[in-house]
Amino acid sequence: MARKGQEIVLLLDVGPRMHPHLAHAARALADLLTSKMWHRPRDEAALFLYGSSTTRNAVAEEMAAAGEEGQYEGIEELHPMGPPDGQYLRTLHSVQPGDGRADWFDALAVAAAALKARGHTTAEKSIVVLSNFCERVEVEPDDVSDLAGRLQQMGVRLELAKLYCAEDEEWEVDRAHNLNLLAAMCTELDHTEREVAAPVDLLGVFRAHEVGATTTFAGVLQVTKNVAVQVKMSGKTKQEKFPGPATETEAQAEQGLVEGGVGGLQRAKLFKYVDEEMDQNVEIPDEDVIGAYKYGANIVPVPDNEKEDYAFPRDKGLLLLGFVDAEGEQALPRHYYMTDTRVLVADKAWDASGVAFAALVTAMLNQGQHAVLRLVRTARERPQLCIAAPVAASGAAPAHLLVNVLPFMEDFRDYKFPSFTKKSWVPSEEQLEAARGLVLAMSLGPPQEQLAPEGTPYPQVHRLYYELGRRFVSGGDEPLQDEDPLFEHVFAPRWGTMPGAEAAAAAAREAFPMGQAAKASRRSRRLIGSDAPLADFESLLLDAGPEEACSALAEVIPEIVMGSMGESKFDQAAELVERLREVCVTHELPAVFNALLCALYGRLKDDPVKKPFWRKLENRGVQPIDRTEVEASQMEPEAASQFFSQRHFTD
Amino acid sequence: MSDKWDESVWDQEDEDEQEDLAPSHEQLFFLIDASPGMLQPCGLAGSEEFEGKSWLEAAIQVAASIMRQKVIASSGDKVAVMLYGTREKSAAYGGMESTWVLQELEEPGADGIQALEAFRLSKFESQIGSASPAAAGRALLSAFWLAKIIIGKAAKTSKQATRRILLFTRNQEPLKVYQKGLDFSSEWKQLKGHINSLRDAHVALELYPMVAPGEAFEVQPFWRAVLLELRGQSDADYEELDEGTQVARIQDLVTLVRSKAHRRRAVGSFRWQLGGGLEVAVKLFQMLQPQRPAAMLKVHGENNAEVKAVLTGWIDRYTGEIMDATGATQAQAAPAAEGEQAAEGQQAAEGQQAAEREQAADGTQGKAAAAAAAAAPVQPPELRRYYPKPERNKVCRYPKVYVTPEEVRQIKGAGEGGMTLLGFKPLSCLKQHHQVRNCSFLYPDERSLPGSATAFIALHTAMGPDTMAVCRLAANRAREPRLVALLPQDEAVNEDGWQVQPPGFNVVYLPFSDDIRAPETDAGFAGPARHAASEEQVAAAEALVLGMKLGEDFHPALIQNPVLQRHYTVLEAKAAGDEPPPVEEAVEQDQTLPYWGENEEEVEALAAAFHEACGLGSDASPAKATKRKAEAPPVDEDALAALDIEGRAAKGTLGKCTNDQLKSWLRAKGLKLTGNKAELVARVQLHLGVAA
Repeated sequence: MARKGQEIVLLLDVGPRMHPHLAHAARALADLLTSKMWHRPRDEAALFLYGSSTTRNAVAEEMAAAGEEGQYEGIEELHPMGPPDGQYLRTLHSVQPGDGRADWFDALAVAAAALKARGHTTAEKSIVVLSNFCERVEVEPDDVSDLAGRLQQMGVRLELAKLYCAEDEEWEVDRAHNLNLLAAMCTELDHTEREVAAPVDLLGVFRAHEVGATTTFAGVLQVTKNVAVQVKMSGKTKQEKFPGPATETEAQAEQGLVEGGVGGLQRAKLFKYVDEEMDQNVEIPDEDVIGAYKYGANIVPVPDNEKEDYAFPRDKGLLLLGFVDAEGEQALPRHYYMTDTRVLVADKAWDASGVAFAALVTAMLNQGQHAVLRLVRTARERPQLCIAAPVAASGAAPAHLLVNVLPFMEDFRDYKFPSFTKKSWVPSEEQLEAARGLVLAMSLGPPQEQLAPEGTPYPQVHRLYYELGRRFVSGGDEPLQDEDPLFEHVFAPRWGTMPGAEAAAAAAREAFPMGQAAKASRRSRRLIGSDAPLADFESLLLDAGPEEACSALAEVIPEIVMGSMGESKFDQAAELVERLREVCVTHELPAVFNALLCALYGRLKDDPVKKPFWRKLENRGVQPIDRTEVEASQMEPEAASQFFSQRHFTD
Repeated sequence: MSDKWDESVWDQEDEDEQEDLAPSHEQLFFLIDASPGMLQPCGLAGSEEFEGKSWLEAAIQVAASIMRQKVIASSGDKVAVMLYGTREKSAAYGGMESTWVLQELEEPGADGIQALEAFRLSKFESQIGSASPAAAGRALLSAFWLAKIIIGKAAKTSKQATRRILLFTRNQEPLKVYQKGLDFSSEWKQLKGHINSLRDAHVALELYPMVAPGEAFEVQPFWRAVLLELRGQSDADYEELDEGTQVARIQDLVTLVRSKAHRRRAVGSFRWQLGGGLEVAVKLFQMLQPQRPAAMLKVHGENNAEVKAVLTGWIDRYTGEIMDATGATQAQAAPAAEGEQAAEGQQAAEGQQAAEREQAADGTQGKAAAAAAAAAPVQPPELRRYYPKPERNKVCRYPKVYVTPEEVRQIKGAGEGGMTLLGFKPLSCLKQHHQVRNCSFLYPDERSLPGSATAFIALHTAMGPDTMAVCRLAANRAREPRLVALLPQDEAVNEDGWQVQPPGFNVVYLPFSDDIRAPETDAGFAGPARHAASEEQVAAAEALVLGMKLGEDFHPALIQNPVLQRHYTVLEAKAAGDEPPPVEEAVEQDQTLPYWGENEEEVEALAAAFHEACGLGSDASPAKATKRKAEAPPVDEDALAALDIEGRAAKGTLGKCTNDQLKSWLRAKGLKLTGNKAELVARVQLHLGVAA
């Protein structure tokens, strides 16, 4: 169905209390108009400033002609209703602050008059007001209701873009007064409100591409074989793609294309054999080329009449498979979701379905369940397995389900990764403390959630709109701005709004040495030093228990051996080995000791200088701990006694 | 390998050069012990696919399944399957003693897979047979030698490939490492030689001890030494294996194939800026990779030889002219090339161009002329870029603004790869609809920056299960940044000690406000009504919901994609020259259909109660008559007769009737009622056979 055009009056507050935010506000409106020009060429717009130093509007002129001078002052019509074009951008890129009284109520009246002057059209009518509403407006309640009534009668929708930032705190009383008036007005009126908490957020207050609700599936939700509910589906998220530029050749640019013509180049291609021996520069006519599928090594040609053989029957429909827990162990993990999200509602044309759907959604909420669905949206689409989460009805929306797509068996990759319990990786208590500090300090809310997807615009496309506007206004030679406030706002850490975060980050930087420093620190973190290892071990044994002490000693012994000047520390190391064996036997930790022997063997066997240490151990009669000594040992007594003889080094 | 960077977030139309990880293929070598011990029944009771099979058959079944998985992933990977410890030897590769090549190293095909699946012990025993257990050591030596030869040969043609040996055996110590407890045995020395050359070729070994659950298999003293040497290559993409991943047990085929068919490979590797100059190295993985039937190739219809499209030049989309590298058209280039015949040539070229223009206008490409330009250089002529992109038949009031590709990149914020921490939020801030594409998985990269794992783990621990991190992510320098949420995931291990969920962060790609729509608030779509269900209705719905709970055995990882399965079943049959199974079979096997088995009646009864409670029976027709045409009013014969349409038609005075009168007559005759008055009159005349 063809969309109706829109007639939209833009009211921009340029009064004194908006001055600090004016540049951002004008850029936001330029975004809105750019979006209209790109995507909604049938829409028309009029642009008014209020709080302006100049007065120029039809209502004021009419009143003046009727002898009532000085009415509706400070309202300036810059562009009458018409299709927006580059001139609107020019205007918005050079908006001047005004010193008039920013009377939004009068401005609304003027806007209403402008819409009325258009006479009866089928277009949807709306008025967009962008302001911080800090200039107090005194108006009788009757007048408010009267204007609201008129707008309602004309079918005008009011769209408010409100800036509510901390910088404007001093006018809080006036603003509250205004907002109360507005709220009173809105109760009688079709309206939308967008509110932003920082001036820079204004830059994304209007969407770069407004998309209406399109039904992507309408039909029945087959609950069981015999029971069905009438439903409709539409997209909830859909990633906005960064628009690509058009291309043209120099010649095309010089000649200029006729309106609607497409420039640029297309690739000219012809077919050749892939096999080099067959190639011989043979050209293959298009009509001889057919499609083929590859089955591993096999190539299977697919003539047109065989294409259908591969198809799986795809009957459009939505089947309920059952329900799964929304939370807990049995729930399907959030990270299984595959693509974008859809919304499922009851079809508004069917009353009983509406009730049944509401009952189902409430039941799912009460029981903490998600639904599993099989969806084939159109006869050409593949079946998808979906999971649907219930959302209760509210004033804004009826009860609905949010539908996400699940993967199939073939989509899973079951990769294994090392555990985080790897000894050399485990962070110390101080490091954990530093990490906790960072998590606490870099909070993005609550109470006020920052970077919520609903309030975070896609900065790249808004930046594109702005830069194109600047370039057009400047005549085409303006270089890009190095930085974009919106881009920074979205993609850089907001240190300013996170007290203590920079200090926490600096502390974390200190706590986590990287590269060589990390290796060194791991060594220094050793609980047993190389100066008095035996003493360290004994005290650790008392403090931390045998398990940690033995592990620490087992780590330090090879270091002492390998770090020894010649054989100077071999005796000390051998004593440590013997002491470790004792403790490991007493506390039944055979694995620690036996693993140390294996590790030592691995390190010594190819090292001619350190090999004598192995012999030293053998001569001292050291043996692995076997099953007869400690039951938990994996080592048979026979293997233990042969352990050294089997690993005898010949020099 | 089939793990590729999923472009769906960074999809871009322009032909910007992109940094991509080099495509790399994998070569898998199945070395399967065929000594007598492997011929015993495997005793993996309770698993359908192995029930009643011998260990040897089970191992071959795994090989066949992994080959099939490779085909579906359309990866170009190659697989070889070899038996060792056989009585006979196959002629391949010079006939190595005690080895039998079941499948040469090549891309798996339908015949190969089917042959492996048709492998039966009886046939094996009569045709190939096992060697005596005493020869186990020699057989293993032969097997590694053979692997070395094949890999050496393969390495010459495909240098980029990564290689894995998957070894299936029941023998804990096929040969002694030490002789008399002191010296290395001569067999070990030989084996070590083979292992060293395999290690140099970055071959990784995975060991599949063929033992029943609960039965022990000691990797010490023999296999651990072999495993230690063959841990594979470790570079930016691939990681060294550790013993945990090197030793795997066969318990169920699905899990095994899923986890072993693909070697772990990162799709991104970068630094994560945590603020204050602290950065950790991390890697990004795709644990979910949407599989679709592979795209079609082009072949010559007569000989089925693969063909490819070769770029021959450029066609001006506006005029249809063919261009060479300089942007000069053929008409301009021709005279210079053909010297004396310039005039003639130009004329011909112009004629051709005219034809081209016509063809271009028809929307077809100038293929014939393109062929003539085949020898022309294929560098594209200089192009200018501008916004906005004009659309056919659509007025654009936005002025034309020129930009350079470099400027477009700058606006997109490309050029700075990596991830930046922006802050933390409770996990509850992540809504069901904060979703645009499949997730990635983040794991520390200790190797490229020591200390990374510790910092990563500390943060992971500090966040706990209920906090998520929000970050800016550009997987590499060519991408534009996006916002992502990092969801901590703890390690989970099943009762066999097998990791079922790795520790790390799941990376959820967040939508921007420009990506989120609100159709549910649109009265035109969702309607103004807010239906409220009564307590009784909700109770009926609750009973239904509880009655339709899916059991523990429901999991998407157990449900096959019916489209993919059908596609490959047909393809495999055709590749093997067989008739594909009927489509009804595929529908019957569709695991995505609801199934309640014995409980069907119970579920249907609950649904009927729900149906009754909500009055769904009255929904046989819509609340508002939007879907069905209004009932036709009853025909008033007398009034119709009074109109005397037939008489008026004969007199040619139908024009004096009102539209309503004409329509009432047409309705009575069951004719169409559409159109303006002239059309209505014409329809009446046509029906009565009266000339206009």
